[in-house]
This record gives sequence, C-alpha cells and structure tokens, in this order.
Amino acid sequence: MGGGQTMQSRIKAAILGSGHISRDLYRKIDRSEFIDLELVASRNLKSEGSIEALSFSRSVSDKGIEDVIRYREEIDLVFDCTSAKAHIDNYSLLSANQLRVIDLTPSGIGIGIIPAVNIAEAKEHDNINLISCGGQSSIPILYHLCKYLRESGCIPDYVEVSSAISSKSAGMATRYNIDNYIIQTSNSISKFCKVRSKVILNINPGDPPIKMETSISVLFSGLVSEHDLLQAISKPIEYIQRYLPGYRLLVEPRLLEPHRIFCSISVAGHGHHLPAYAGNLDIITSAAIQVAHELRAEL
Amino acid sequence: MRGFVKLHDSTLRDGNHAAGHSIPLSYIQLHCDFAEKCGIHSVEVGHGNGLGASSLQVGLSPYSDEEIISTARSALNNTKLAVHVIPGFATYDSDVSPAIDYGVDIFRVGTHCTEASISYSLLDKLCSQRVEVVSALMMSHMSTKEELLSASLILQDKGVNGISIYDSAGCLDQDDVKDIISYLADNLDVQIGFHGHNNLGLAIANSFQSYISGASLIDASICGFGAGAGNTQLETLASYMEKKGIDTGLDICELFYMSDFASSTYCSIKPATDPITIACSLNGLFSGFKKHILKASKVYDVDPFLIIRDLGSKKIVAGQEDQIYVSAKSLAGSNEKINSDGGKPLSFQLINNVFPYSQVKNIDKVLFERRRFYSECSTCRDYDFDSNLLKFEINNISERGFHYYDGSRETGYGGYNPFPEKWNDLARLVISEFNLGVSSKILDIGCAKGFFVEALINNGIKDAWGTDISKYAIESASLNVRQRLFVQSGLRLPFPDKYFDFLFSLDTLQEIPFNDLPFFLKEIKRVSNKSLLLIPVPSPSSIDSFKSWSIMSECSFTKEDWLVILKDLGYNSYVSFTEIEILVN
Repeated sequence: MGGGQTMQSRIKAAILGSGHISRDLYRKIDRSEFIDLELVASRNLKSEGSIEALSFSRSVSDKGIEDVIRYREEIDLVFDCTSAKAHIDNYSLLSANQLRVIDLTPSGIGIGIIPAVNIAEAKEHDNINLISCGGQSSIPILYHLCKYLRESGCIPDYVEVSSAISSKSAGMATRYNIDNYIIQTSNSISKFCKVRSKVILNINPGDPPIKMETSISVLFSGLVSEHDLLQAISKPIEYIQRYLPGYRLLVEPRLLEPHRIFCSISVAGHGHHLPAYAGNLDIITSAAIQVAHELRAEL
Repeated sequence: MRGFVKLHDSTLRDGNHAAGHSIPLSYIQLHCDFAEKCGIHSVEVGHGNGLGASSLQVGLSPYSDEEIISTARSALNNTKLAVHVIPGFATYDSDVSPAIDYGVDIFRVGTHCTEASISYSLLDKLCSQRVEVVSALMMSHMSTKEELLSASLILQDKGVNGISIYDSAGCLDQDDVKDIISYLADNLDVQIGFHGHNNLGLAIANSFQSYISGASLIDASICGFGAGAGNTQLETLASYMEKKGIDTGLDICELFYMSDFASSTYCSIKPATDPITIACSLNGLFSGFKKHILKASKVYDVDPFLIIRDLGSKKIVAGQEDQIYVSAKSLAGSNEKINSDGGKPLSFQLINNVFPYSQVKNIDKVLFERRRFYSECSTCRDYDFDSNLLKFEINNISERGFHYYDGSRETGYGGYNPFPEKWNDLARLVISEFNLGVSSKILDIGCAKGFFVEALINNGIKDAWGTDISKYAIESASLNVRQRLFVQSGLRLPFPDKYFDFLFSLDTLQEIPFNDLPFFLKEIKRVSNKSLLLIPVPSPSSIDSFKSWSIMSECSFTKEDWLVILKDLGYNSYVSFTEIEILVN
C-alpha cells in the first residue's frame, strides 16, 4: 500500500479533522515510536486544533480529504476523525486511492475492530471502524463473558451496557449524535456477542467531572460461579491495560440475581489532550494507535 | 399571574417506578376510562423512565411500549395521551417515531436540567411533527433559575410547546418554586409546568405555589403514586384548588372513585416519606433510586444511608442506577455490622419437636422427629469476631472453609465431624417415611462434607447426590462420596426439571440470604418432585440468642414465621422444624 514500500519501520499517517479526537491523536502519535504525522487535514486553518497541529504535524491543510488524496504517495494510513456522515464519502475516495483508513467516527461502515478481541483481522481490511467509546470499553468484557458462558453450557440471552460520561467530555457532536452512538454500539455488541443488546448513555454534570464508567449486565440461563467469570475477563482487561492503564474493573462480576451478571468498569485517560476523566476519548484514540501498530508490519 | 390550569396525570408513568414498571394493561385501560370521566387534561403512560427504557439498569417492563400506548389510546378520547422520552435511553428511530404512529399526543422530552442539549437533535425532528412537545428539565434543584432560563430559551427556540420544571428529588420548597417559576413565567412565552415529588411532604404546597407563580401545566398522580416518596397527590391538589376557587375542570366525585379504584388495585402500596426518601431528597438524589439503594445495600451489606451520602456527593443523576451498585461495592466493608461486645458465653441444648400435620395447613405435610448431633460439641461460643479471616468467611458464603467447619467453636461448628450412626438413623428414617427405593434419585442441597449422602448410599440408595457452596467442605468429604458431591450455589442447580424424586435441604434454609429465598425455593421446586426442608428454629426463650448460635443465620425466624414465608413463596412439600434452646451460662 501507499508509499510503494513493502516493509518499513515507521508509518506515515494523516489525520482528517481537528477536533478533540484529532488533538488527542496528535499527542499519541507524537509519543509513538512507529508513527510519523505527515498531515492534518481539516476545513479550517484557524481552528484551535489546526493551529495546534502546526507543532505536531509536518503539514497542515484546510482542504480536508482532497489534500489527503493529493499527497497519497506520502501517506500509509489515514485516521478519520470527522463525522459518521463525512466518513462515508471520505472512505469511497480513500478506497479508490488505495489508502487504508482507521475510522474513529460512529459510521458503522467498515470492519469493527476491538483490539482485545479481533485485532488480527484489521490487516485484512482497508476500512477499520472503532465503533464507539462504549463499544471499546464494553465489548472486550462482553465478548469474553459470552464466550465463557457458552463454553460452560450456558446461554447468554441479553446484554445491557450503560455508560456514564462527564458533561465536560461530551462535546456538541456527541450530543447531536447520541442516537447514532446508541444504535451503532448496540449493533456492534450484538454482532460480536451474537446476543440481543441494549445500550444506555448518561451524561453526568458532576464537578469535578466523573471518569467514564461503563456497567455491564448479562442475562443468561444455566449456572456459573463468580470466580470463573472474573477469570474469564482478566486477560482482556490486562490486554487493554497495556495500552490504557486507566482501564479498570470497578465491580468484579457479580450475580446480582441468579441469572444476571453485573460488572462495572471505569476508564481514565492518559490526560494527553483532555484531562484524565475523559476516558471516553482515550479508549478510542488509544485503540486507534494500537491498531496502527498492529498494521505496521503489513504496511 | 393566575389563569387556566391543565392537570397532567403521571400516575401510570411515574407510578410505574413504584410498581416495578409492570402496571397491568387491564388497569391502564381502566385508569384511562376513569381519567376520561374525570375530565383530566392528559394521562402519561409507560415505563418509569419513558420510551425504550425497559432495561436491567432501571427495571424491565413485561409490556412493550406499543402495548401500553395502544391500550391507553383505545380508552382515551378527550383526555390526551402523553409519554416520556429520555435521550440516551430512547432513540428517535426505534422508539419515538413508532410512538407517533401509535397515536401519542404529547411527548415529554426529559433531560437532566443541565444537559438539555442532548435533546436538540430529537427536538429538531419531533417539533416538526403534529404532536405537542414539552421539555422536562429533571432534577431542577441542581440548576440556578438563570441556568434554567437560558436552557429554556434555547428549547423555546427549538419549538417546544412547554417547559416543565421537575423536582425529581423532591427537595424544593415553596420559596424555591416561587422564585424559579415566576422567573421563567416572566421571561418565556411557552407554557410553564411543574412536577413535584413529596420527599419533604411539600408536593401539594409546591404544586399550588407553582400555579400561583404562573405555571399552567401541573403534574400529579392518583394516590400520589410515584417513585420513592411519591408525587403530588392529584385528588388532594384538585380538591384544594377547587376549594380556593380555581376551576380545574375535573369532576372531583369521579376523581374519588378513581382514587378508590387505584388504591385497591395497582397502588395498594402507598408511597410514603420514609428515612430513605427523605435522605435522598436531602442529598439531592432522584427518589426512584430507593429500591435500588435497598437492594445494593443488601447485596454488599452496606448501610443504605452511607450509599445515599456517597451518591449525593457524586451528583448521580436519574438514569445512573448502576452507580448505586458501584457505590455500594466501594463502601462494602467500611461499616461493621457485627458488634464485638465481649458477649456472654453460651451453651445450648436441643429439644426435639414434632409438629402434627394438622398444624400446617397449607403445606403438604409436616413430619417426624429430627435428631441433632451437636450435643457432642461441648465448648461454648462467645462473640469474638476479631479474626479477619473469619469475618471474610462469614461475609463470603462461598468461602466458608476451615474456620467455619473445623476451626474453634468460636468461629463455627468447632469441628464438623462425622457421627455415622446419627446420619444412618436419619437416612433409615427418611427412606422408610418417604418410601425411597434403591433407584430413587436424591439430592442433598447444602450437603457440607456429604455425611448424609454417604449415609443414604450406605443404606442402599444408589443415586444420591449432594451440592454445597463451600469448596472446602466438599474437598474434605470422604473419598467414597466425593464424586457425588459438587460445589454449587443452590440458587442455580444444573439439573433438568423434576429430575430428582426427592430433595433434602437439611439445616440450610436459615443460612440463605432472605432476598435469595424465593430463588432457592423455586430451584428446589423445579428440580424435584418432593422435598423436605429441615429448619432449626429458636425456642421461645432463645429467640434473642439464636443468632449467636447459628453464626451464619441469615433468617432467624420462628416456626410460625417460616410457615407463613414458605406458604407465601409457594412451597408445597414437606417441612420440619427443630427447636433449639440456648442456655446462657
């Protein structure tokens, strides 16, 4: 792909958009040993994010996707941080130009990747979707719980994910797209776990802001022990903690009712761009970097 | 400013919090019939948190939104049909749009008072439809009047028909209401509403004050039926307004019939201000949290008031019910329930007691003499719970190990040793009493070290099994029976329906957490054809000290209490009691 080299030690990346997600990515890419930020392409050179990009990126543009395509020879990988709607158009252009993209919008097109579950599949696709913050925080747990339940002869019947994020970390885009978030997250959970799901999002105005918290419930038939459930999810949690140490089990799996598992996670970010409470931002940007590193050998 | 008033009946929506979101459809229909007759302006129906909110998080409803709305729709003509919507629970495409098709007239779009912006995209779609839209600013006590106004002005621009101030935690008083409502009424063009909760007993006064200050859309519930402490009581408010010469448009007489009907059916448990709901109010928490707080308090053994204080400090908003469990978990272990008062050494003796069949009317049969084996344990127990390990074992039922079974008498049985002749006696007795045969399938729940299973096998039963929650006990069982025993909570038995001919639960029931009893008995009933529960109960003189005798006792009831409980829970097989007398040295 791009650049014409088969094997290289560093990825040359472009970012589409200059909002909070992009700005957090600048900092994460800056810290990465394997990624160079070649281009930040948004629609407004005067935005805070564009101005800031000058100190992180080799070039900054206000021509958006057009400039990404124009400089395609210089680029191996694109991070799309625009919007679900914009991503659909962006992807058709990127794909026509053989550019691989990691999509951080809740567009729902492209292959859904959860690093702790299916990161290996990323290599086979050119449009990699990271679902949503609720998806990144809950699916690793849910996938392994459901897998464990099925292996022990139980049947997961229904799962529910309720996330709370701080008001300060929920920008207007998040608020306008709340329905999108719910529908995409629920669809992805059902796809990964092969079970009916419901997703709830609360926005908490507390000050100081709360960390992102996600609670998970699973209804199932059969029987399990709480101890085994904890073991079933300890590996994915350790996996995520390697790239996001603030991902933490707050309530270990508990049978609140005989056929209902409940557990809860809190997600603190690295505090790169937004403060640590905005775990909802970091869980998705950290996953993006993780996936990019995975793709490195491929590029 | 005083003008017309529209009384909005939120019984079937907010009341659903109190009714576990399961007010039956037939009552919804009858309630709506009454509402028509009374001339109520509008009736709100649905899950307590509105459309699409049936969830483990808040509570599951047995009825779909469609069923509830259609039922109400068919009963209403002049009275308008309203629903509640909270973005984050419901989405436009999957919940709101279908509700428009089912014929809803009024949408109450609720958000936490500071977060109205999460409803903008919904309002953009909804306000262009031919329905009435009222924005509900919930937990209004968490905003200033200026913040409420600036949120309201944007909502007004979005095209809503009204803005309602929800006192979801029931912690405003008349001065607050006057201040907020008159300020909004002076600065907004749309109708102003007020939704009162009764945590401080001020719901009627606040609602009346809101009308005096310019609100025209006032929410109330029949019998005050609602979350936690309940809402403004509709029949009281309407009567009081009529007394003050305000035309509510309601037929008060019909309203009383409606109240009678409601209180004898779905609002049979009247909402009341109690310490929990008052504390919720003082800590600014949504009243509907009460049930979850009590449950979490039980699950994690934490003082509910500690939970309330913690949640209040985190500013938990309506919809964050999961945080109640997170909070309880974080507090678990911080309060000591067991007093170590140095107590008095106790010893005990046993009285065998037989209850004749006739005394147990609703339970199949009660029988036979039970022999106890504890008399060999001569040491006494005192209240010394210093050992952290023991505390751990006591609080973690599945971790019961050495200390409980084979530690000192201070920490448990003081040696749970086999007395084969006693167990053999018991086995022979039940085999003859219940005509058990060689091939009878038998299960002993709470089998501990499997002594009884072993005795059954020694007496010719081939197919006897045991389960216990303690891994330690089962690992300590003799090799003859180890493969017939397994570690398992009695709440979920891995057997098909009616698998066992006979099931025994010896000395176990009193150790099951009370909240789990229904599940435990249900499982017993499910997997067995017949069963026998042996339950130790205190003799009349030992009621107070019984708890100290049975260290793990979750349920120390008298036999009369047990009979009522078992009957209530639908248990219909055999039961026997052993009366225990405890002597203080």
